[in-house]
Amino acid sequence: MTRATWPLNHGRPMVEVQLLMPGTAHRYTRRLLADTGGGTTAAPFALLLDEQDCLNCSESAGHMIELSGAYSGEFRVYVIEVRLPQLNFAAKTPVVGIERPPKGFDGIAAFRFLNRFSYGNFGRSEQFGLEPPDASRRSIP
Amino acid sequence: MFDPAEIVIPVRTVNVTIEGEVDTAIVPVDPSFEKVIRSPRRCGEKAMPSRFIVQEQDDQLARTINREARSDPASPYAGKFVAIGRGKVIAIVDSLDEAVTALRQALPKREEGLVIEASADYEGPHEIWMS
Repeated sequence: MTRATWPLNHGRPMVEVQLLMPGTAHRYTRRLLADTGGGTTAAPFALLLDEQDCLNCSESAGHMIELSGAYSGEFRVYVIEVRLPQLNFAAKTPVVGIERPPKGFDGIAAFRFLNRFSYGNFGRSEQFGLEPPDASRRSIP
Repeated sequence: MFDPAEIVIPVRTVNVTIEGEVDTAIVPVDPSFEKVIRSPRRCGEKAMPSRFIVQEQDDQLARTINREARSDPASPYAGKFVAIGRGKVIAIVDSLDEAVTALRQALPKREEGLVIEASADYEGPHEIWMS
């Protein structure tokens, strides 16, 4: 079964993704807070990243979006190639550029992103992980 | 008269020491632009979006398309991804990949134009509650 797991970061669930800088071979690894409270499945964004990462790695700008809660106001959505090599995942992804990621992290993996996978600690309290959504269905008799 | 919203100021990142603290700063390549913008991660100031200056007409068109797509299921934009540039619709396609590809074919500079998910809720507000 293909599964990607990461140790908790400062006691919080973490996902590591790779960002591609357009037109180069440069890849940046970014640590994201896995946040099921980050937006809904209908939100037009999957990740929230430091705005400088968005400027460096975006292939295109997107529309403005209004946020509330931990981040309030209008923010720009960008389109970034995001990869999870452990899961053979690579996709152009809508990302919101924010000023201050959570302490100890480079950004947030929002619910729309997490919900593409099966997610959780998979029975081990010291980790957080993702696996393809159909993997868990195969294990249910 | 020029439109300030369309000015792109080339900048570069340098290491600086300010009041004894090592920091990174974003400075204009052209020294005639005297304003120095500090890295927001260190100093809490909002960074100028120096690479993506989206034209107001593109944002306005995106807003119009978004509202139409969300209010009218029969709209040609409903459920589609739309590439917009220089005040015009460039492509109406089925995926984000196709929209970005079409936009870049029409406008090769990545700071030009934008793409939207036509039926998505951009107005929100979308709540971010960190765990």
